Amino acid sequence: MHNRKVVLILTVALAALLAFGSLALAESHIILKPKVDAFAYFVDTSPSMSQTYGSTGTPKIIAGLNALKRLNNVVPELGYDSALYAMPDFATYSPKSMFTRAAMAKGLASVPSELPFFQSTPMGKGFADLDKVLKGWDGKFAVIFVSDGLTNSGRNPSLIVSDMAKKYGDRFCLHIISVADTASGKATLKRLASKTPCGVYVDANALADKAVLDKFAQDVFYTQEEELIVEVVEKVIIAAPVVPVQEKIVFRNFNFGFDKYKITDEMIPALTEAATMLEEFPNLNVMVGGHTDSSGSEAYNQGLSERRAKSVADWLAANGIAPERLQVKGYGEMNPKYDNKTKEGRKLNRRVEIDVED
Amino acid sequence: MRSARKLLTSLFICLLLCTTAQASQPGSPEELAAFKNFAIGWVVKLNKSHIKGFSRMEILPLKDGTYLARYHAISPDTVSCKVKKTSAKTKGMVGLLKYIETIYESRGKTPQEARANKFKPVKNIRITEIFSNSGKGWR
Repeated sequence: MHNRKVVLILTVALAALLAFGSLALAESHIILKPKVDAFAYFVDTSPSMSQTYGSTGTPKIIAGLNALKRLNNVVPELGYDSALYAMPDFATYSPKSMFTRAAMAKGLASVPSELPFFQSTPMGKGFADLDKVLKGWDGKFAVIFVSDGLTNSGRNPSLIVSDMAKKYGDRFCLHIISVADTASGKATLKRLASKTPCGVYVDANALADKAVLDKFAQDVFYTQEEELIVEVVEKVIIAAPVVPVQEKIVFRNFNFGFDKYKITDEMIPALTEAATMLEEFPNLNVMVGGHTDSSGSEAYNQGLSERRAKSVADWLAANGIAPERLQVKGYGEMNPKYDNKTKEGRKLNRRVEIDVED
Repeated sequence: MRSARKLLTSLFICLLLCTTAQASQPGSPEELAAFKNFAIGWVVKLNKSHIKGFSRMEILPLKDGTYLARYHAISPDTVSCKVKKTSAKTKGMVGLLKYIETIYESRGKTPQEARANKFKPVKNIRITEIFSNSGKGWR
């Protein structure tokens, strides 16, 4: 009984020792980073906005608000503040607070679509009133202005926005959602969008296209970055009976210095590791290929790549890999994998690849 | 039973000795963490510099008048890292960065359509990059 117990313990310990390993797992996340600390929707509610938008049959104010609602639905909640204002009589429909789609949707629903008929459109005054609010904002901010671009009284809005652009510098972006259906209206709005280098102009009806909508949202509100996260996970795996599997493996990155081909002491550990891996596939042929960057002449690089590949192959042959398995080829600069126009790419191209093949 | 016990004990001791042999001792969690930081940046460089990467997508006309769009990319979720201490002779570490480089293709009636259509993986290349660190950083 005692002997059986010892045998069992030893068997389990043996299996565990065969199988113990730690794995590094990697996953990636798309990270959205806000471009601004705050933004304001700014709606033109002047009389001309009650007119029909082109041939759509929809009043411009409705078309403009619908475009804003569509945009609001795709704006990610990244912690920036938001507000909703209107002009020419400056009004606040959603005071500045942390942005949520729901709160802003509520504000958009409260903007009137029935507009006063007898009223002028002092667009310049509208921006001047907006500026009084914005001067208290810290950080970067964007204004998304919805308008038909028609202005018929007061100061030139271009001059007001120019002054704002000078005052706030690269903190301020003015973006336009246009419901303009006249040449002068479009020209005014495009001129306003150009006053800040980051400004984007889009027609309201184009935002019905999801790709255009998503791009506009990304241009205004956020950047996308892919973050690779590698975590170490300790795992104990009980090994099942091993079934031999053959596969192709490419070993790379024996990076030589510029114009060098001899094996250095620094390379020995990596070559030792490669030799160990190749010993796991004793029946496969080993192709050692040398590559260079594009510095220097083609003829010189061809010779250099052959010398590098031969150096590696000779080392492998002297360290346990049967010479008859080894083939050597120099590719020179003729098989680049990375961009030779950059220093980084040239460094990556200086390599020896070891292909394991049937 | 006695001979089975002797055999298993011998095998156990052999394996214990083998784990202390050259170039097979795993690195510490700190060393692995440092290597993974290096590896993350390395994979980003590989994807960015690849001459057939996403930003340099190939558009090839096909005989039937349609177009083939193709690019290479390393998928971050295929990446794994391991570090090992090297032998006492040449002190240092060896880092193994394994990943799969995938070739993606898409077709369309026009180049723009080929770029915009859904890409499918058509080939995987399993790659192991071996780095060394003798105290001067990962190379």
